Amino acid sequence: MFIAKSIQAEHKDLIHDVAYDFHGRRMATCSSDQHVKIWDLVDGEWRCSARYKVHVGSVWRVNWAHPEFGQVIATCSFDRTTAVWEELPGDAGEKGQWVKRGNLVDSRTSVTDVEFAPKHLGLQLATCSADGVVRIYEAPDVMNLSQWTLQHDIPCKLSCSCVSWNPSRVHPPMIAVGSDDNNPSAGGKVHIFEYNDNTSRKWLKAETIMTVTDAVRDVAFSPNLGRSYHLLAIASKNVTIVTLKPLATKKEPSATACTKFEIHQVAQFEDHQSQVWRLSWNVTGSILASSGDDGCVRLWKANYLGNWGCISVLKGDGSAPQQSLTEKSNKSNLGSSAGTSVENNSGGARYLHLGPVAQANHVPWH
Amino acid sequence: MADLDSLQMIGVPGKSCLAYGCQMKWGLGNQLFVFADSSQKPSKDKPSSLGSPEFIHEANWDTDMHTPVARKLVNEAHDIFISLQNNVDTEDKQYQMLKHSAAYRSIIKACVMDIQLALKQCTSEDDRMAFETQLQLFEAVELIWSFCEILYVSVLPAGALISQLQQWMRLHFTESDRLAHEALRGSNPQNAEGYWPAVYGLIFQGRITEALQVLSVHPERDSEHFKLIEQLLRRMPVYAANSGLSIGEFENKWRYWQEECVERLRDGSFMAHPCLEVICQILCGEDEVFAAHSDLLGTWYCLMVARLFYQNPAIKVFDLQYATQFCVDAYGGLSNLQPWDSILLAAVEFDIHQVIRECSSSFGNWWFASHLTDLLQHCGKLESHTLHFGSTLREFLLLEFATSLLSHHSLWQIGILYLDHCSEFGRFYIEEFVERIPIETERKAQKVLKICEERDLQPQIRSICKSMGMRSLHNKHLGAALSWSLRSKDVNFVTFIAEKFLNEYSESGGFIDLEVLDHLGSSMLLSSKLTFLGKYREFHRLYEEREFKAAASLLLALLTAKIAPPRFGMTLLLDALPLLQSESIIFTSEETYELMHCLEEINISRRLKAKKAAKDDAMDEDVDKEKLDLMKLGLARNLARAIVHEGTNFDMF
Amino acid sequence: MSGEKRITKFVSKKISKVKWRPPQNRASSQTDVFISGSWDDEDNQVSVWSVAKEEEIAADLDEFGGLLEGEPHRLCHLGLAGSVHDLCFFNYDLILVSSSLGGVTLLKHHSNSQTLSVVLEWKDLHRFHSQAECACTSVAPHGDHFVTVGEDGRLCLVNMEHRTPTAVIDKADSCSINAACMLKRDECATVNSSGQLKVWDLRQSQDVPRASRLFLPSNSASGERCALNCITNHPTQAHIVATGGQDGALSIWDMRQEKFPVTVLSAHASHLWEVVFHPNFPDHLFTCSEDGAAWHWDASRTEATPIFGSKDSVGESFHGSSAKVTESKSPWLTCQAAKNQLEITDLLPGSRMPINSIDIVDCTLLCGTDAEQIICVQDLVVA
Repeated sequence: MFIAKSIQAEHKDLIHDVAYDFHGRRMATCSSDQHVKIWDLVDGEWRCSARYKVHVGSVWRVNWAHPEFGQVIATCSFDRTTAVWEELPGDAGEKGQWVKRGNLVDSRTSVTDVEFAPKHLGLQLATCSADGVVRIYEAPDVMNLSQWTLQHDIPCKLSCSCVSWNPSRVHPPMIAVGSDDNNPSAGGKVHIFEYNDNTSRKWLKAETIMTVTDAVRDVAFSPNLGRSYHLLAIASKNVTIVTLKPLATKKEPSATACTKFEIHQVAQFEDHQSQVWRLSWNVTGSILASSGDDGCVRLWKANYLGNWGCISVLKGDGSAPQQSLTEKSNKSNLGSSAGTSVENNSGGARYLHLGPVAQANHVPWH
Repeated sequence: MADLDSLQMIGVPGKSCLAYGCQMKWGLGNQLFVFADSSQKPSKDKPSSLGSPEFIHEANWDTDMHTPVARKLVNEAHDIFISLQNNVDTEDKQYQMLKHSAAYRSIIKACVMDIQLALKQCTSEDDRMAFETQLQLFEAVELIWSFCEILYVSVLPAGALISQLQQWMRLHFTESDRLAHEALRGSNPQNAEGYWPAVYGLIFQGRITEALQVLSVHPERDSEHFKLIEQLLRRMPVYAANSGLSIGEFENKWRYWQEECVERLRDGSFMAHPCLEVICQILCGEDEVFAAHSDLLGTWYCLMVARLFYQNPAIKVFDLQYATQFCVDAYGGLSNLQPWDSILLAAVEFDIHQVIRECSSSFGNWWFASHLTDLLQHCGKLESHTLHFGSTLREFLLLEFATSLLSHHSLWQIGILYLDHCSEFGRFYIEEFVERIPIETERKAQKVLKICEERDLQPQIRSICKSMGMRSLHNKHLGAALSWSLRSKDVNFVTFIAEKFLNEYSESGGFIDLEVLDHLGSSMLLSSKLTFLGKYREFHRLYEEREFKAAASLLLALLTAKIAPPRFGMTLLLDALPLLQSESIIFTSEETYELMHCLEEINISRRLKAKKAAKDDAMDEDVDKEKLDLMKLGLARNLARAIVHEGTNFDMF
Repeated sequence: MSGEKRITKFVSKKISKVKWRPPQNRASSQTDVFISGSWDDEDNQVSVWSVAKEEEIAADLDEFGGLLEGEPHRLCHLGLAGSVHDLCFFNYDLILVSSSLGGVTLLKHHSNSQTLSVVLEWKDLHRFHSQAECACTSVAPHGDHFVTVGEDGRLCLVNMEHRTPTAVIDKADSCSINAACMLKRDECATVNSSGQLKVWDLRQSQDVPRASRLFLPSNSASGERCALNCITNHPTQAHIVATGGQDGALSIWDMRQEKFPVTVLSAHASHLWEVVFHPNFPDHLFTCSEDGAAWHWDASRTEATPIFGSKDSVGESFHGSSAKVTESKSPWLTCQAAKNQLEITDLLPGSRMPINSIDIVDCTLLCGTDAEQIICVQDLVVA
């Protein structure tokens, strides 16, 4: 692994969130400066194509909708609102414009997280706020983004910090909500809600992860690529990974019954030795990234036997960043083994002393 | 569990990442974006005082196979890989496996030659370093691959094994050739520093003819000692599979010959000539002489092959592992082994899992480990050694390799071909990745869709077509948007686009993108809005072509079938006006009644609507009233004309 | 029949287009230089290649060391922004390149120094109204002009001397135009994503330009819209045009009559990306496809084959003294009936990765593939 390039983001304040669109060719950044920036990857370079003010407080999170719905992002802020933005085509000679399509003002406190539902559920949006409510909004006509209706509000009692949709296409809609409540006696801090489509048409609490009682800052469902169970990562004082295995019910689904789950903790890592803040799964759900108060980003991966382990750690070293262009030509030629040393050997014993030379470029195994 | 030695610490540049800690987000594939973040979350909302500009850093890994030279390997190898998958159940499996293994080796070799060429031509020091690193890596890959091929893929009879191993050694370790060549170039070869090492080296590798050649330049070549050693060397029995000699017979011959060598050594024939004595010691297979020349031999495995050749030339493959101890010890024991040495050791010990594990961690790519594992799996080597996770291990590695290809801008097509052969998770990976492939042009879209079609990925096809349609719409390219929406077969989306066309018509009074509308064919039936759009355009075409009768009946059908959106009701009726006013009678009385009925219905619904809404658009009302009156008049007059006409016509019969 | 030799060169870029350099003078059909363009990479390039001859390899072992006879080796290359969509030689050493970013670049190949340089650039000839980039899919030279078409459905006529197009037909098509070729001096044919072939009179200066003729796919009634990907015309009988479609079918059109193709031959399993007639023996044509096949179509044994197309009448046939030519019936116009006499050979058996482009000169066929190869099929039997 190596840092291939650095992009100057030029926000006036700290960046709180970066979101990539479905194809990884567009990027949205949001910051305490109350602005959002949109970046486009043009010929291998990130270029800022729009910068606009989205809120009157710090913007905590930004999220892209699936491109099927057009170029749409959602932002949430300390100013208690959630907003949906759509890029409209520009007229001849002008650039496209981002316009506000939805202003969701139901929360009375800071909105801490926003996430679009997986595409197969249509254009839905989950938000959660410090007042302990998870709200599900929907644009019933996906071709008209200016109409958003509050479909459900789900009280959680505790201040909510994060929400995550389960991306599985073959299971009922499901979200996980985490609370940053500091009081361990308030019980489990991660709740799982499931949507009951059959009769009640309501979100019902399916499970509470009782083992996690410390403040939770992030939760993330792993993409489900053919697994029969769900994988949920939880950021608390440590990184916890649990599996949720739906228990087969023989009865017909009844009005109130949610799926019950067999919950297993498959891994718990104390490596950050401090509060863990953010979690993120890669596209295939094979690697989990976590960041914590120790300033490190750590990558976790399961080997072929299902054992989880750390494969890499990234940490700021204060060195001068290299701008993208200068590095590029170099890298593209040789695939960069920068930083690795080659011991010089003589003649016949060429293989004797060679170490794993290209390892810095490689995330192998654990 | 986590192997701390292999844990990587990667430094992220920039002051802010050091001051505030790092935050991350995934890109596509092996791509992680890292940036600084204040972990002080929702509790505070005051701007922090950060002076320096913010950076977002992009981290990549497993990019070794993205270099130009490696890409040749990737492209060429995938063909062999696919062919191997298709040849699993052939009758001559053994031969097929060997053939494919050799094919892999030949492209690795080509890759090595490419790097050598690039190294020759390169000018910058950095490039040279990187090429050298690559060269060493690929040479090691070739070395290990061919070693594994000898052990696992070829099924060699005793006797043939050692000669194969010797050949492998000769190919990869050419130091003695170099020494010999150098020595022979000088005027006094026998005094050259490398003269005797060259002779020993050649004999260690079992290359007797070459060794004799080097010896023949020695000034004392005609002395008695030299004659004697030459005789011994020449008489050494050589095993050949097709010589008709059984292995037992060969072993007997060998024993007689070696006994003679031992005899000569004992009787002091070479006392006067220590160098020749060393040769004789080698021929006798004396441990001391091998240990003493470990530097010349270079590695434990070269030592092993040389020693076995003189001590146990008929060794069988499973007995190799008992010969390793001495050789490893000669180089300082297990702890002194370098990664690649230990891979070969694990190979000899038939610990295939360990071989694969070390290959994955010692080489900067998944290519080698995944292809070797796949080959061994096909050879049946993974099951037979009770690794119950055999197939999972193969798939695990192939998934990693495919992911590294899919992380590349342009290697995704090959990545998908590999995923095709991962029976457990491959399809899910394809489903996840294929939709995310960035599509810049229609041609690329067609290629991606082709991949989906071949694998019957209907939801992905729909989604890609819809995304393309949305993009065309965004680009104000309505015709293309309609084409994409039709291909997506998504009714709502088609309706939405048809709506856009109708709006365009309402605004401009004309149709756009005629060639699409005029040739909708049966796809028109996908959505009633689209049917209306297509039929309404057809009406206009008929009218333009002065096919009034056909136009009129189509218009009437549109009105009565009620597929027209309500706001188009009046427009359609007004379209009938010129037909009503034309000289010849187009609408029959019956048809006129129907038109009147439609008008009445529209009128009623308008009044209902008007009641609901406040009467703030009185202006519109007036205009509409004018139109209505005109319409009523037209209808009444046409009815009169039609009745008269029909009456007279009737009379004629 | 399979006396062909295949040489595969791995070039580390997916190849979108290959094109032989035209011979320097008309008398010879010899050329050993070709160009290639790459697509879908972070840095795409145009490369000039030469096919190594036996004498050369023998004469200069250092430079040609390790090369096989007939193996291409790269003379020079130049990086370009965006994917290369189309390439053509404007003349012996000037090359027109169209890009996925919507522009056309004129390159000069300096044979003395073996370098490529940019002579002129026409940026944004094609661009969506939203200002988003839009691929220029095809470029066709035409006297001192060239014609470009793009995914925006626009057709541009550009004079080599001017920086802006002389004529733009903004709404030439409501879908993407996938390819264009010149039929005669002022007539250009285009094919689009809805399977239509349109003929444009480039002299007309109406306010709302319309295609002078519109040809429809023969299966338009079925409702399945099948895009046409490529178009080429017969080297001696300009009224004969061949197109390749999304469904892999090869269609032959007679520009003198009918709205529909004369012949539709279902061929490949997937997108037919390029079709070329042999320049000297137009009874032979070649097609390549997404399914990885490159086919040789031999119509020379079909009945009613006239001997036509003496080399000196190149490009002159359709207008002017065409009486003689129109008399003779081309086998391509009758081959529907004589389908069983059409001989088809798969030139790359076993190949699986898409072949994006082919070109033929003499007995050597070039193929550019998504497996990052340039394949030379040599010693084809075409006479």
